Amino acid sequence: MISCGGIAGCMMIMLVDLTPGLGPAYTLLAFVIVIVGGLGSMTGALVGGVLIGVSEALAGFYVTPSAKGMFSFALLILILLFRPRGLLGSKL
Amino acid sequence: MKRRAALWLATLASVLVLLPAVAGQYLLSVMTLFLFFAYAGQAWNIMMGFAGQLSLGHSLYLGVGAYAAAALYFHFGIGPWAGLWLAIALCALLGAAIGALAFRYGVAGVYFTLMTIAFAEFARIGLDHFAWLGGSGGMFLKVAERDRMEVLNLRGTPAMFYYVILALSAAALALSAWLLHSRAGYYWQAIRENEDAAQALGINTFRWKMLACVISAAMTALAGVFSAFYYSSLFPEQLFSINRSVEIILGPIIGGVGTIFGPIVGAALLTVLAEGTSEIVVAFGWEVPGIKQLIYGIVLFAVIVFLPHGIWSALARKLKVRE
Repeated sequence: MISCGGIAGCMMIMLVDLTPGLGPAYTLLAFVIVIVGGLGSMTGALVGGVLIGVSEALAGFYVTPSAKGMFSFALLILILLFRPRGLLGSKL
Repeated sequence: MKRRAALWLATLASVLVLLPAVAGQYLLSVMTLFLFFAYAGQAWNIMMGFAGQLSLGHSLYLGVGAYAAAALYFHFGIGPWAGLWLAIALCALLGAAIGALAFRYGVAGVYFTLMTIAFAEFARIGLDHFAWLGGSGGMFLKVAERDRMEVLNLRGTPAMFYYVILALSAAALALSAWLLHSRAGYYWQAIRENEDAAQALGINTFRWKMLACVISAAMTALAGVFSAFYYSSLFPEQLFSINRSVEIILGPIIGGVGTIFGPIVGAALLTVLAEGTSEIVVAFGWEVPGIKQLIYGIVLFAVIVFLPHGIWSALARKLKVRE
């Protein structure tokens, strides 16, 4: 799992600037993606990642790049309201 | 036993009240910071410690409270003593809205926690783009001369701010102590320990969880108003950031979640630690960047590993104090 994160970091660094303070924003983003997909579901994480990634990219293109984070959090709130355990999370 | 505790409290209170007479500017600012986190921690403790609802988005209420009072003052010249009611009302409404959405739709546990973060982050990015409130460039209140008292507009000496936050913390302490042993407090503790069992016993869990949310949010709003007027500058990045939420909850976690004195003890330790390490670093002449954060982190880590229920819980057991 940690090595997956490392690989993701290596690929990311080709696209973004590197600072020591980079971590928390991406930790939060990863948390959002996992929750959207459903905690404990691998497919869910994949679906959540694509959903959040594409919606952020679209929001960045059509609205303003700096406000794109707002849309993923809005999406998260909406999804939680209709599916309290995420898209593919198991019912407890 | 009761008399000894009362004596201790009275001594502590008189020391705190008399402090500005002898303390210098630096000590006073450190004490103000300590009391600020003690107050905000107590507000959070009502929601998590008493009712068991983990919120990591308390910076939302801090920021909304700060911006509500500051905007009224900045744009319309309405002083904070009137503005704080707007701050309280807005935050209580927000707390109720978030609570109602989450509890009605069955969002619980880690999902609830992330939802509180999502609302705070949403507000942070939103305010970054809200030009009327200064946007990401921040909003600045007129700084008064440090020695001119203007209590009506909450502008004045550091000692005045110290007394304001001291009064707030004392009021929060009294409120927590009363709430914990009230009907609501016992319901909350039942919900915290086992929500299904509490519901089976006929407790309207939705209603009592909502009450905890609203009280906690309204109290945090006042911390926001205080910080807006104390610092006279507001930035969404600072007020709404998730780091701010973590700072608020560190005190109660270190001190003891769900206890009355825990948040205060925790905030005191954290402030002493943060300021103390700076002093030590200066005294030893270590010029290693980041060493202050390192010491701070190690001590926090040690406290969490060795006293997982918080310092105050362990101390209270040793002193045989019952809250």
